Amino acid sequence: MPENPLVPHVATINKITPETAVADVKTFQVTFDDPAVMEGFNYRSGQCAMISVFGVGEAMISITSSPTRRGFLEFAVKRTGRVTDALHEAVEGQKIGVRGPYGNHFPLEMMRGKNLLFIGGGIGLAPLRSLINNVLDNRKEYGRIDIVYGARSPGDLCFKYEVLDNWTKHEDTRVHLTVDRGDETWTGPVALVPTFLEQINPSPKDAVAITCGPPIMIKFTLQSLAKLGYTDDQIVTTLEMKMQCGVGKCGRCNVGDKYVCIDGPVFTLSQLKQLPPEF
Amino acid sequence: MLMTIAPDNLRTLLDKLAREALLVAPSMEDGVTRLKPVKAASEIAFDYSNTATSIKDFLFPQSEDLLRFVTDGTLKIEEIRPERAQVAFGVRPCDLAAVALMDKVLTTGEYAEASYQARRKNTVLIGLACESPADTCFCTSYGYNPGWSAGADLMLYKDGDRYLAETLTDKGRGLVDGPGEGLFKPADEAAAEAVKKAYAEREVPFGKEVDVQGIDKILDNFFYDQYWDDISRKCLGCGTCTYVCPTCHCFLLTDEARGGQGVRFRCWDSCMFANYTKMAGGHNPRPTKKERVRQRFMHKLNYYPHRYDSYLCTGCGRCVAMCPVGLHIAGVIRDVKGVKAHA
Repeated sequence: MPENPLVPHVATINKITPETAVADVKTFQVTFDDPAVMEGFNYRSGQCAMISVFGVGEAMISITSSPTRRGFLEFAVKRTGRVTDALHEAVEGQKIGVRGPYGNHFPLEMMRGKNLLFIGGGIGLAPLRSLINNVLDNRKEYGRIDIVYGARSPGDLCFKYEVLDNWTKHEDTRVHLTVDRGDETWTGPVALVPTFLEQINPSPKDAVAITCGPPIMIKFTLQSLAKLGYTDDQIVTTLEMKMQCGVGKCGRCNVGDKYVCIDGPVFTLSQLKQLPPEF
Repeated sequence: MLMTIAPDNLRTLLDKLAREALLVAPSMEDGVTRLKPVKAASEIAFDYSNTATSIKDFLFPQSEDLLRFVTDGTLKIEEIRPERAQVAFGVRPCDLAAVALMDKVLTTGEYAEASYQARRKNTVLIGLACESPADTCFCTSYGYNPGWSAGADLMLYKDGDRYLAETLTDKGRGLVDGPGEGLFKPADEAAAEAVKKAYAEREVPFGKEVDVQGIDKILDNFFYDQYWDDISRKCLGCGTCTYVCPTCHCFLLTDEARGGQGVRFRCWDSCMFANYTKMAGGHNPRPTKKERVRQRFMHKLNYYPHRYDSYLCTGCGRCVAMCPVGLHIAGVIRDVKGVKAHA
């Protein structure tokens, strides 16, 4: 019987890490129960997987672990709807369904040898984290790295153990953090991501900017990048649409003639400008 | 291979098929002829222009269980594949053409939808050429015709007091040689070809033909046109067009569970519904009827042609007949061409 792409594999949640102060984002580390499935799950940064909580449904979630670190998958999930609510109720050891990987990936080939500017907002750092760790695991292949990350408040910053610690230890790698609203513990910048980005003023020379975050942040970040001199081919971003099948059949995730599930989620700004603004 | 079959023999064959497999055929109930499961040839309507609903209902049913799961303590997933053999009789040329368009989406590319693929494999399609197309038919606009047979396993053409029959696939030959044994007679080749030609050249009535030539290219630059605001006002968002359409294939996946076990099923969805693209966070990229109406016609006449090189419409005319406010694809094609002509 040929494989049915809509049938998930059984996987176990090994570890759950609350990311934010109010734990509305949690990272789930997952392994497939069948070692052959785990071994055969070859993905690239930027790809997504369909997570099933049986009895509730499925949701497409970006893979936040790096393919350079094998043996498990990680998904950082914000509590947003029915499936993510159910996932947040899950405990370590619980079984879920996972199928994938789906979609295209970040253009590592185009990024090689370039200076990299990562711009993340809130949970938008999840897919970027896969890429950042992927790049840092092969640090010598890339130029200067700037990571700009912002969240609504200090408590909303995700992956602090990496953002504040692991990432800053790499050579020629800078992490720039900002929040929309500070609190009594926060001594860093208080600014929206696009404004903060313009203050940092990273050079577009030999650079690629990769950005992911809420639509409103993306909109203004793209304008800021243009101001800084980044061309449309130097800017990479991701799209998010409602999905059901993940394999280009169920119809709903199209933007123009592209299906975000198989043709996306990663697009350069030049590619995006070829599509109707219906996302 | 070309043969003939007498109406009585055809009834005998259909009775036999109804005993051996699930037989789907046109049948009239409360004045409406639909394709539906029948138990005997006596239930079948042989004189009809087209069925109210299409063969889609049996290849891509409104709801189909995909897998069973058990969640008490552990997690067990068991795939469900449709296995029952079915024969569909009386499939019209527009629906045969529509199956080919569905196939492109559901069975080609990197992934195939396994349930649909299984049903396609288990189904024998017996086509029936159109003697009297309805006043809503416009298949010829897309290059199909009342005798279009591609997609059928066995094609029948009413020819006076008998049927001309042509086998087009191994499944069709299997049907003629198996249950059909002794019921068919060899046909006179030249006369048979003349019958086929007459069907292929038959015109659709009442001037419903539309000029679709180049509509895909025109729509490349039509996304922002005021036209979509104008026509979407009268749309009720009922989704009838998508349900009766033989090529609309959008679906959703839903779980139904009770007491630690349940099923996941695939069921029809419609781009006409607000929830279709509404995301968990509340954002909806197609929030009003304008975007949804535009999406449906752009998909059929522009997006799908870009991906698969044909229009996602075969001119069956069901949406023309059934849209409660008369907003249908033939009208949209005419309008868009008119808007462009006056622009």
